[in-house]
Amino acid sequence: MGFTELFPFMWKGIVTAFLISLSSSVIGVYLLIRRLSMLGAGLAHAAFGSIAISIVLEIEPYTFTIIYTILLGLVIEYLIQKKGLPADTLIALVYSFGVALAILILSVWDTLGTNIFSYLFGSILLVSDIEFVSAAFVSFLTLAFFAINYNRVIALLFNEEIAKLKGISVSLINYSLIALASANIVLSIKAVGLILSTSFISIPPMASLLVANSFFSTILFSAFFSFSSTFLGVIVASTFDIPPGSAIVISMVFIFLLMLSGRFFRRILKF
Amino acid sequence: MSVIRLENVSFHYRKDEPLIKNLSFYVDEGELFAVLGPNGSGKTTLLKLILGFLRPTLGHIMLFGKNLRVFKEWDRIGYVPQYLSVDKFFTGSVQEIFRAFAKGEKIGWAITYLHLEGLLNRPFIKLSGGERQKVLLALALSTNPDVLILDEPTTGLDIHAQEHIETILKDFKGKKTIVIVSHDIGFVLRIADRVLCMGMETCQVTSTENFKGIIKEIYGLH
Repeated sequence: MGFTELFPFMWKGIVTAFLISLSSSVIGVYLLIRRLSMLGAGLAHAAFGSIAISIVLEIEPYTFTIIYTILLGLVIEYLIQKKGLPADTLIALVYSFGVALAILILSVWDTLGTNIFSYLFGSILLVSDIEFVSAAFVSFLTLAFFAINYNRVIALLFNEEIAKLKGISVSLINYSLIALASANIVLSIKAVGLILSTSFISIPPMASLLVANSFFSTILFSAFFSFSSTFLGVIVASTFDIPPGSAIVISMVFIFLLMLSGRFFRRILKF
Repeated sequence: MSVIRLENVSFHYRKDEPLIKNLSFYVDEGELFAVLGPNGSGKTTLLKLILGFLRPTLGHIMLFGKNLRVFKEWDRIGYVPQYLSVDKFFTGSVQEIFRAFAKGEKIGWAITYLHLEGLLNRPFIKLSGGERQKVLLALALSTNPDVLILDEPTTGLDIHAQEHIETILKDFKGKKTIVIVSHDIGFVLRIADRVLCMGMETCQVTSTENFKGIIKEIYGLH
């Protein structure tokens, strides 16, 4: 079946992927400049543990995992900002703990296999109504927050101390953006799976850095690359009957390599 | 009138290891005051205390006669951090930075004064050290502050950029109160009215002339 035949059955999943690709790529620029791109990998794997807990406790995994991951993201931000702990080590800690917790639960409750696999590798076809509405809400909230606080975000990314002196609530904006980033990471799990969910917040922003010459163009390129690779991934996946998550991520890497080669040749030819 | 006054200020990051111990000094209006000292002597910590980013463990800090705890007129203070403190992945252009921090009409005169018109569309991280320092200076000047506080303004700059920054600061001398944190002794000797030496037993606050006399003793030079 091609894309047009599949669309009526999986439109919720495709729209979810597009929405999250857009908001994650925008917030990814903020995380990249703060050197927190790996937060995606850390929180996605922490979410793995949370999903296992919620399935065992028979509570709605999506809502529980969003709350769990946002709280964890805020704790990480607090430990980085207030206690001066290194971000990469904290991310490694939550990453390992999440996987360890999930493995422990899986080994005790061995009936969770099929449920867990849809989260591990993503399942665009199985996006539920609550997941679709949550994605639309979080995506809109992320883009609206970013648009309203656009100049404040530039200010704090440039220099937090000057931003504080100019009266900007640096901590409030940082915590809010980390909470939104955490929610985006959980919501991208359904599209590409938790193993690949960090791709939305890291690859398009990194590709955009290679071509942008202002903060605004970095945001635009990041959103464009993310949106295009999601589109390309979904088309390729439906045409060749391969997993959409993998196709989306491979498309992102393809665009990144394209930009990297463009930059390389531009330097050689000096234009 | 003292614009900045510290009274018996102590600060420690760890208990029983005071980085700043019982420090008192003042900075008068229109004075160019330098803070000198080796790495780890507490220069940047002192600056963070004055700017309210850290709170003293003991003692009081007064700005314009008001205790720092209740001081709200931050528009009167212009702060120039080290240009190296900006992340290399920050893609913002000079124009975007100015828009983010200050409205065009407020910063316009600083852009003209520092000849930054030609740099507005360029990403900050692609500017030279001297150009970056001037952008930071323009940001600090955007509110037309009474006090300028500069952290290592000449570190990492080539000789021409250093001279340019020095000329700009000399131009402001007497018109604004300026506090410079630096470990560049030559620069400080040429420009400062008084010097605070940190991390040394023999010297606290002294005039630049006196400082020239005791400099060999302080640094153990022959």
